[in-house]
Order: sequence, then structure tokens, then C-alpha cells
Amino acid sequence: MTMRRFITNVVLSALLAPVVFAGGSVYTRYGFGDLLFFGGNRSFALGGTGIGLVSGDFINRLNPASLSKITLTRFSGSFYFNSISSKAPEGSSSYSNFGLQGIAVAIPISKDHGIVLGVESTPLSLVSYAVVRTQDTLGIASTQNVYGSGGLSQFALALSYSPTRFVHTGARLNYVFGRLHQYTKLSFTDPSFSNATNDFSVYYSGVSLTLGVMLERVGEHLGISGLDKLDAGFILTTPADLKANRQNSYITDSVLTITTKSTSTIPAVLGFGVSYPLNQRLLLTSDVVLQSWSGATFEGATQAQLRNAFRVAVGAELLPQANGDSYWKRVAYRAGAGFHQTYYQMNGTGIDEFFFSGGLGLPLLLEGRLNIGVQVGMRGTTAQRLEKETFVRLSVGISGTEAWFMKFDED
Amino acid sequence: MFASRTFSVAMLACLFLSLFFFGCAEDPSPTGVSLLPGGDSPLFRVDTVFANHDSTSRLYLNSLLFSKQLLVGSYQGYEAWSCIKFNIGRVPDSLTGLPIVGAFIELHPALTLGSASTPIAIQVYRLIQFSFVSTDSVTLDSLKLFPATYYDALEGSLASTTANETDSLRIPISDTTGIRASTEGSAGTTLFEGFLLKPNFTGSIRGFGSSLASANLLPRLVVQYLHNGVRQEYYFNATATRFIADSKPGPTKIGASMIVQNGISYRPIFDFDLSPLPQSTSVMKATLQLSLDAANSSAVSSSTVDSVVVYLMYDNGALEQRSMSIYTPRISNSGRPVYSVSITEFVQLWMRPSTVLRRIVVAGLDEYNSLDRFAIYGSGAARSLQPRIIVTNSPAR
Repeated sequence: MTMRRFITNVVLSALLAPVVFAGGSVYTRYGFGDLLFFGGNRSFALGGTGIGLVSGDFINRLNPASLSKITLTRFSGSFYFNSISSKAPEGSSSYSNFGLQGIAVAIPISKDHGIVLGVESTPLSLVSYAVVRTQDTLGIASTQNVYGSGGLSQFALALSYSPTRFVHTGARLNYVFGRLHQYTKLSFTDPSFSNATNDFSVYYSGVSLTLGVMLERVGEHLGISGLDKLDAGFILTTPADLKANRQNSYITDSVLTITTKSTSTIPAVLGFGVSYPLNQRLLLTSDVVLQSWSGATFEGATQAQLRNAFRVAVGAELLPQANGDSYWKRVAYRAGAGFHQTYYQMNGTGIDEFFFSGGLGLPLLLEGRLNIGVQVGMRGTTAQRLEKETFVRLSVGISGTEAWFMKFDED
Repeated sequence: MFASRTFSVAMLACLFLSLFFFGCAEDPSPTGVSLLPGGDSPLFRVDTVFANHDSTSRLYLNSLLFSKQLLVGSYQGYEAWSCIKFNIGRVPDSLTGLPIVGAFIELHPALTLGSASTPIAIQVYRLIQFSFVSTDSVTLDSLKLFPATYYDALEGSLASTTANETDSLRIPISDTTGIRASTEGSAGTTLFEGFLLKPNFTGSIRGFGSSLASANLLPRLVVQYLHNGVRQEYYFNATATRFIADSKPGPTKIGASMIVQNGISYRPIFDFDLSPLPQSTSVMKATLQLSLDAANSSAVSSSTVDSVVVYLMYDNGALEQRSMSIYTPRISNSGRPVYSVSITEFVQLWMRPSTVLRRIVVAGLDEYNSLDRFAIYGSGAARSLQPRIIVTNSPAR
């Protein structure tokens, strides 16, 4: 798969992709929306794990230290499809949305020292909801269609370095940016009233740093038998102070616009993960991620609807024969499961998420793969007048290589 | 090649399947609406602002030529004279040379202000030149102070006559010399420039169809010929008409009530202070309420007394060309008749920071074609009667 053909296919797929549908979880109204822990398609199918996954076969976006194992210029890109069925005391509804899940390129600079440069663009959060509300205030009957959209993304530059053969480090500078948008159409039953539109948006921008460490064969070095082949990884992402530029527009026959500037914070992220190959074919992974949201500020104020977030997941990958003659024996079969204590809490109840995942890694030429992953799960509850959601998340992407920047010995 | 094809097919297949697998999005639903924070709901408030000052704009009707009516008479300070020009041309040869045994100005009724039982008396003069009386600067004072400039010979008169509201009127023309000259095109004659109708009665104003009225109301000059002992009538339609009216500098205000008058129009101007409204707010609805002072009101036609026209006035006196008028009957506010006019668009304009306008001007409907006089309580009246604007608005959070 050449780079040119890869780009052509990505562009064509984007053009042919269906229009992004409006609507989704009302929970995304809070904080920065749903936080997306996307480490790549392979990670997605493994329950979102990968902090401790040392591999040169894919660009691991969870831990910059893992770049060190990449020996060929590698690229990856993917799309997501989400489907959500929501149930609340007011009724039930279904929504879908679709989008680009980011692209990444990793360029090896020094194989001996594991120096690899990574460039990536990854979505960090997603806001998508569409709600209709009827209201009767002061005898004024109105209908409000409230739409939320947007989210945060991250553009990052990463660099890895392997001081020893089994120790790998990495750092990634993250530029976080994005716009959260709320659009309200206000209409009245009484035609003598003038309809109105409120258009609120906040643009965020800021910088954080992710530091990562990976240790191969931990058990061997620590003398723990049975864990010889255990690999472990740690990540720390520094807090990000985001500039928040808000623009609220109130539209009737004219437009009244009020702009304000403030700051918001994304708290630090601490993660730990392990991977363990049971045998030549079966690999197990597990991650734990912590993020303290309870004190985070949004435009200078805390949100009572947020709490600390915690995520734990496990994954397994079966690769029958990496270089087998049979195509289907070269396919990677993946599965996982996860529990996510989301940062949402409302009416005194936290919103927790459970899911199972699965996927395939279909081999392509030149160490490329077409990765398809699915996560199916549910979160929330209808108690306390909250919303319970069943979701299906699909991620489809490819990973390929190019022989760039390689030195060839001349005869 | 194979891998590339595989990829392309797989991607397109996934995209295609996603349409069926995930279904389509729905319109916004109420699911989860209670989870939205209360701050996402727009605030509403209702503010009432009262007029804090009033004055009057008095206009002479400069476009009287466009009036569909001719007014003649004197009533409650109004006085109106009328001018008519007829298209007097050659009559058919069969009538040429025949004796003229009678000529009349025939008028058809349109309205009555005052009592229809008041006897009517009108004097008819010959106009020097119709164009002299058709300019906007000509007033009744002009006609009274400089009569020789505008008219001369007395051509006819109508003695005190009682006519009902629906009766047509024929005013005799006693001197038909000029008519004959015009109809037979005699050399040296002066073309007939028309007649001036001067009221010689008080107690009512009678309105008749003008040259702009419908065919059945057009004024006509009727000339009677005697042919073989039989009277034959020949008609000439009016080609131009106007009435010139004035009123004594009557009161624009009676107590705390402001006069709204058609004909010679009085337009009350009310000032409002919108500063009690939040500076950053969206106006959803604004209603102007004016309370009628029935005791000081009179009307000619029931349709106009029930209708007002509201203008927005800039500080420089210019009017915003858009206007609001109502045609519905007055509403009752605790038994008191109130004009209720939606002026949402006005107040939205008003609230724009760049707009310098603070005033509402009230006029009667159909000012140029009716004769109404009614009173509206002004800023000096009791609070419950003062003009007010009720504004429903949504302040920015």
C-alpha cells in the first residue's frame, strides 16, 4: 500500500462518507463531552488498552515510548461510527454519528537508539446531542430545539528514545484545540412573538505534555519467574490550561454578540498498563487510567456534574501465524472488555460504562493492516431521572508502511 | 494492487453497511431533556414602560389632490371649501346652438360629519385658474385674504337645502355664458378653469365623491339643452378636484388626553424611556397600549375610529417608513377601550445600540380620506391610563 494510494482512499472515503448526523448523548453537554481514549485501531479492539503494548507493528498513541520499536515509516488513519440508543423518563431515541478518528505518521530516525518521530492528530472528546424542550414561563409557551456539537482534538509531535534495549522512553507535545457549540432555536406557539436563535460557542486551545516509559521483560529483570515476558508501561500527561474564547450570539431581527475570555483546565492523566504474550500466538493486555476531574475548572468555575474518572480494561489478541501461507491465519483476532467510571455525575449518581470489544486486523501488503474494531456496551441508568444508553462504536482504519528515509547499501 | 483493491472495497463496504446498521438520526427528541442544566433555558421577563412625555405634530394635508372626497362645510372648528375642474369640451353638433336652459354641479354623497339634518347652502364661484389653487401652499386663509387672486364671478348658488346623507346634490349654475363659450369653442373665450364651492352654512361638513372616486360618485357638470321642447342633458365629468380645509388652532390636548385628528391631522407623539429593559436582551414581543378617552372623541366613520397607525420617529423627526396599524376592534381593559398594537419590530430597532429613536407617533387611519377626531390618554393621565409598551424579552445570560 503506497502512501499516495492511502491518501487517495482516505480522501475518497471521506467524500463518500454520509453526512454527520446530529444527536447523541445528553451527557456530552457537560465538561468537554465524551472523553475518547483512542490509542489506535488495534488498541480500540483490545478494550482500549495499549499503555504497556510494545510493538513496532502499529502506532500506539497511548504511550509515546512505544514509538521506539517502529523501524519503517508507518502511517495510520481511521474513521469511527457511533450508534447510541438512549432511554430516559421522557422517552427513548436513537442517534448515529460518524467522523474521522485521526491520522498518525511515525518516522524512524535511529533504529539503534529507538529514536522515532511521531506526528498525529487525534480526537480527544466528542459533543453531540439534540434535545427538544417545551416550556411555559410567565404564560409564554415556547419550544426550544437544543443542539450540541464539536469537541476537542489534539495535534501532537512525539519523540521516543531507547536508552537500553529493554527500556524505552518518549515524550509528546500536545496542542489541544477545539470548539464546543450549542445552538438553540426558540419558537413560540403565539405567532405574535418573534422567534429567536441562540448560538453559543467556545473555542479552546492549550498545550500539554505526555511522558511515557516502557519496560520490556519486567519479570526477567526483576527476577520474577513466570513474568519473564511481561512488558509494562507508564504515562503521565500534564494538566493543560486551555484558553477559552466564548462567543454568545442572540439572534432575533439583529444579532447581539457577547464575547468573553477565560481559562479551563484538563487535569493530569496517569496511566499504567501491561502486556503479556502467553505464547507465540496469544497476547494479553491490561490498562488502568486515572484522571482527577473533581477540581477542574471550566471558564473559571467548577462543574458539580463532574467527578474523578477511572478506567480499567483488558484485551487479548490472537495471531495464529504472523507469516503463514494462509491469509486467515495471518489475521489478528482481538477481544477485550472495559469498565469506565466516566467523569459524569448527576443527581448524586455517577455514570459508569461497561463494554466489550472485538475486532480483526486484516493483513495488507508491506506490513499493513486493515483494522476493524467494535465496542458494544452500555452506560448510565434511568434511576434518578437519568439516561441509560446502549452504544455500538465501530472503528475502521488502516495501518501501513513506506520505505522512506531508509539507507540502502550500494553494491 | 490486490491489497489496495481489498482496502478500497472494504472501506466502501463499511461505509455502505453503516447506513443500514446504524439507521438514520431522528429529529431532536425530549429524551434526556431534564438533564440539561437550567442555565440552558432562556430567561423571559415582561417589562412595562410608560410614556414620559407627549407632544403633537400638526400637518396640513399637502396631498389633498389625492383625496377621494370633496369636503364642504363648517363643523367643530373645521372649515372646508372645494374646487372642481370639469372637462368641458365641444358638445355634439346636434346640441350646438340650442338654448341652455339649465346647468348644475352634481355631487354624490360620501360622508357626513355632524348632523345630516343641518341645511346646506353653497356659493359657486368661477376659478381664475385651477392651477392657482392646486399647490400645497394654498390654504383657506389664502382664499379668504386674497380672493381676487383665486376666484371672481359668482356663477351659482344653492340656497338652504336639507339633504339626507344619501341624497345627491345639484347646485344650480345661474350664469351659463362661460359654459356655452367653452362647449362651442367661441373665439376669444377663456377656457373654463373650474368652480370654487364656498360653504354658507355651519353645523356639518358634507363629503362628496371627488375626481378620484369610483364612477358612480364622480362629480359631474350637467348642462340642459332644449331641443324641440324637450330637455336634454349632457354631462361633463370632473377632471380634477381638491378641497382646502383648515381648523382653528384647536386644542391638541384636552386635560391629560392627546387629540388624534384626521383631515387636518393632529398626531400625538409619545416619548418612552426603554432604559429599564436589560441592555443585552432580545425582544420577543412588544405591544403598545393606548387608552381611549371616549368622552372627548367623535367619529365620522366607525372603521377609522377603531383603527390607528403607529410610526416610529427618530430624534431628527424623521419617521421610520415601516408602520403598524390595526384594523381590529379595540380591546377592553377593565371596561375601558384600549388600542393594542404589536410593535415588536419597532422595539427591536429601538434596542439596537446605533439607533437613535425614542418616540412613537400615533395617527388616525386613512388621514387623507376621513374626518375623525378622538382622544387618547397621555403621559399626564393616571398610571392605568397612560400609554405603555409591554415588552416580553429574554436577557442574555
